[in-house]
Amino acid sequence: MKRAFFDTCVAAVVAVAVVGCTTAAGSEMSGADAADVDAATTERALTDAEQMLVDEARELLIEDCMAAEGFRYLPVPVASVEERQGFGYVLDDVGWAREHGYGTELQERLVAILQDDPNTAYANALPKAERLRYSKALDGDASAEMLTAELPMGGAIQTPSDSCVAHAKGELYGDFAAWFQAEKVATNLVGLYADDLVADERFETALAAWSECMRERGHDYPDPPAIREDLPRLTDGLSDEKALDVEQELAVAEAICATRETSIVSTTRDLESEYRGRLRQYRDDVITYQRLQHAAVEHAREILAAEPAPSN
Amino acid sequence: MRKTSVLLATLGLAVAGALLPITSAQASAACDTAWNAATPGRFGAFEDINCAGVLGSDADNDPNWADSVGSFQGSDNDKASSLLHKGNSGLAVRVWSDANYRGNFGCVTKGEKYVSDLHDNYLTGGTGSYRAWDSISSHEWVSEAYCYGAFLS
Repeated sequence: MKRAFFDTCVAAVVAVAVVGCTTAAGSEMSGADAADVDAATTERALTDAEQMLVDEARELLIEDCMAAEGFRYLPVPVASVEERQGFGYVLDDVGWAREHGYGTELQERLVAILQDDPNTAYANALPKAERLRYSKALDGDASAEMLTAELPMGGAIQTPSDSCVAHAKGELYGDFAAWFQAEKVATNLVGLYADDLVADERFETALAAWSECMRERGHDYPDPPAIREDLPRLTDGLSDEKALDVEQELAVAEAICATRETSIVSTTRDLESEYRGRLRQYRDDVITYQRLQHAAVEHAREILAAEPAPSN
Repeated sequence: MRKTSVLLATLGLAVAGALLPITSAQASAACDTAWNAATPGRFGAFEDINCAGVLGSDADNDPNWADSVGSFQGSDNDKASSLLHKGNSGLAVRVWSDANYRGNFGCVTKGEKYVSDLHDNYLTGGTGSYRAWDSISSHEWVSEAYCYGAFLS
């Protein structure tokens, strides 16, 4: 049964096509003298713990901003370090795999927490006009000024320039518009080189060795995604505990084969650096992304240090 | 008994950034109105562009838009032409070209608010790509980390 979503019937059709074609920018990775888009920078990527600090500070800033607008906002729990792992092509941390398998329970728990966000219940309990004011204060007004960032794979993405979320990020990163542009580019480059990377002979050789390692351990899979695709079948009808056992056994084998028995992780890391290095047209955005990230960590530390300790 | 996890089917395939983009700097007034009217915490899909013709909305996942269970049913399958995200912080919606979170996917993030026209747009997550319009057959809420990143995390 479909539940009520809209307060009003929205039938108007405006003859403005906001989404257009998304022809991929294509791989522009030729040229042996291309600068390395990442290595040209002087700063490392943030650790997961540092990113957690930034996210926690962002929530406090949103809380302050919403309070200034007259609304209650409870800082949303941010993903833990453990919950920020396991997203790559192949698992590269045996200890994490031994504890969490493929991270299914971790992610389900995180999504459940976020879906139970008490701020949503608070917003839904407000009178209609206040609920709208709340939404616009928190997330901005799409009919007002929008920021636009071009995506590497084609097309663009927009977000309101003025909102409590925007203000919070602006305070953390120093310049929300610059951050929005740089982040959308730096975190969306992989589509430009993933297909080429997996077709690279060096990757294919490493993958074949990994697959052979897995086969010798009794797990006959051509590549890591094949395991993920097979997991629903393997765990169907099992208790959560048994399902985790299945995950852990496979995940540990995958990670051991990837890190100790073959070179697939190190080879892929090198190849990714090489392929990203050829994307010189995005170098400035990546440098800006990393610079603003590190600035945000420092701001986050100051914000969190100034926060009163919990009374209990 | 264990419910088959939605995440199990999709872990490891998210190796490509897959935000659903726009190409124009113009916002959609109709989608603005729809977003303003939408209930916080929910995702919505529309049969027509510019958030017209409501197919349904959901605060949960729906692994099959073609069946008779969940917020999207039967004829909703392969019909969506625009999408709207009014969900909670930290969550993105992944829409899939096939049921049970398979095929190709695209992400709609909270900051993006809506995608007002899926035509000429492609679901680039997963292997290869597939058209975004008239093709969505399942959706799931995921942490935003599923929609960004690198080949090796």
